Amino acid sequence: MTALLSRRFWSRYGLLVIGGTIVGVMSVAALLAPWITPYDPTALNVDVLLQPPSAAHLLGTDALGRDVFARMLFGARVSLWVGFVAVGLSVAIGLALGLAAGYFGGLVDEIIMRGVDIMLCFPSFFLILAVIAFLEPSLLNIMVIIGLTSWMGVARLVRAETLSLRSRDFVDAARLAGAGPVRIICLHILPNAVGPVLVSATLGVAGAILVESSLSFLGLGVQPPMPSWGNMLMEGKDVLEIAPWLSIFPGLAILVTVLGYNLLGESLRDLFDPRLKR
Amino acid sequence: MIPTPLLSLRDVARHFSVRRGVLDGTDRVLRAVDGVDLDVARGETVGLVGESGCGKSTLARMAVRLMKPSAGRVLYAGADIWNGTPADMDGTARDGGTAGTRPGPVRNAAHDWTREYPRRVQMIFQDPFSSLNPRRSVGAAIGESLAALSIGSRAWRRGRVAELLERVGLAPDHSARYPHEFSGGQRQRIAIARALAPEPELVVCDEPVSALDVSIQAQVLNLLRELQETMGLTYLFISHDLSVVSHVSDRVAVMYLGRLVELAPGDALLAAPEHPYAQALVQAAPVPDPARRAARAALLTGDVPSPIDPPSGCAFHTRCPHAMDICSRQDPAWTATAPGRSVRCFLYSAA
Repeated sequence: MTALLSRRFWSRYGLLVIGGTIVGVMSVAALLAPWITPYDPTALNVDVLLQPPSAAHLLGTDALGRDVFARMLFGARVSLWVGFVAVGLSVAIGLALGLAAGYFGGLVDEIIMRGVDIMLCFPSFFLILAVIAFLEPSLLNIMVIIGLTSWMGVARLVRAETLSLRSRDFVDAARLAGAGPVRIICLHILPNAVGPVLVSATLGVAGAILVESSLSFLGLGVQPPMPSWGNMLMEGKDVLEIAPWLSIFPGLAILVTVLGYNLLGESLRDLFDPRLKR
Repeated sequence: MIPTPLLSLRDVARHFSVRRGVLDGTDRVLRAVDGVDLDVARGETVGLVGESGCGKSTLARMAVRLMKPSAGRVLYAGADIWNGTPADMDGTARDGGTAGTRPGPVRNAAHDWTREYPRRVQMIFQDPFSSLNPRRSVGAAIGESLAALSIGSRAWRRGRVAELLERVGLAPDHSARYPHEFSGGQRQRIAIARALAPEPELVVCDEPVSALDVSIQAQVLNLLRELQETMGLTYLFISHDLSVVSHVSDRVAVMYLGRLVELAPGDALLAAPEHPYAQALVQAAPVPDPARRAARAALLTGDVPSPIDPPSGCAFHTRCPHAMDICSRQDPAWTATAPGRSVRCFLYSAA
């Protein structure tokens, strides 16, 4: 009986638990980085260059003698921070535009959604590259530019949600109660659209982490000596043959974290989908 | 002089344009409501019956000002609710005719009907599951109009919500709970309390009991009647169930394909329907007596014609057992057949 129960539990919530665990562990590691490792992620040490993983240096050291584990932990801070801020920005823009387009319809909808179409026409990664090339590649710029180029999905989603909620009887009832558009949007539509937005935001974090890593790998993202998984990969590629741990571990971290957010997002989506209930 | 009706629909119509295929670009017009005249006097209950799709709900949405008529006017206490200034509350209405029939720039200082109308007219919806926001507490739902219109202080509103809950037969401490914790009948009571919150004069009930169990229907109908007596409410009661409508209504209007075809006192309509469509409706109502059931005449055949291309003349002639030549050519006018009774059918206009 218990075995049956637990098998049903795992088939239903297994991915949620795995995704949640990965995201949780990564977040805790990033938050507690200075207390987990004794090493300074930017401190050079010429005595220990390119050492393989050992008890002293769990994941080895890089070409400048810096502890890879410490750099990974502080790199997690960068990745997650970029992920959250960029997604926060894109969700804020997407929500505002999606709600306006869906609720007001007509010309407002037409203008906003054609704006979305235009934004989607740009190959966003090259747009980001171009903009970063003009501006200086700082952490703030990266977060803002990722946020500004990734809100279209949220806007479409929120618009669709708003369109279906707007025709529900309780919205008509609120209108009959004398509620204005702002009150209806904030109290009646937004709270009912939160689920799908949360899912999309979770998936968005994975996307933002990938973009940040790619930018950093290309040298247009987080600038050394500040560690990020992307620029660690870049530094590791030159010594791939003699010190593979420099590339393997940051690469794994990106893979696992993105996987974790995707699993979490997908299972949240299933959880919110009434068609998949029971 | 006849007192001004509380609500008065004057040749009200609502048309929707229906887009056709990509190749055939012309839009066609769906006439959901096509020229309805209906008065509701203060304190009475007017019923509105008809099959699904006949335009009942569209008419209701225009009566509560959720939808603007494509043509015609909706007058409240004599004033046009889209571009008129409301008359005073006491029923001695000033003539709303100054506003004119053509939609145009608002004359004199525009009256804020969007805030005024909720305090006069409210609505009870058919489905108590979709009419309550699942993420708002019962108290917030009932107090919505008070909060939205900034009526009273927060504490006063809380007291009013408790009072309303008691009035509809629920406990005052239910206000902190959420709609999913209640049954359909209880939810409909919540919806009724919400409609009563701003102390409206007219309540439009759009199939208020159709979604409920038969045992609950009677309870809710009795509650509505009791509230009408204690609060002096006026009802526009819409349903597809002729027996319910004629039971609760003083007068019943029968609607077919966007138009009214008969207007009669509730019991008279049930006992002796005049319009062939009303006769068919009465015959179609379930009768709990096998002996009488056998005597029933043939029911209507065929479907309701599309409101996109309504039949010419009398819209009912395609299904009418008594159809004559004139029916497809000319639209029948109203004929008074008895005091307070009129019908739109050529069978009666000859007399």
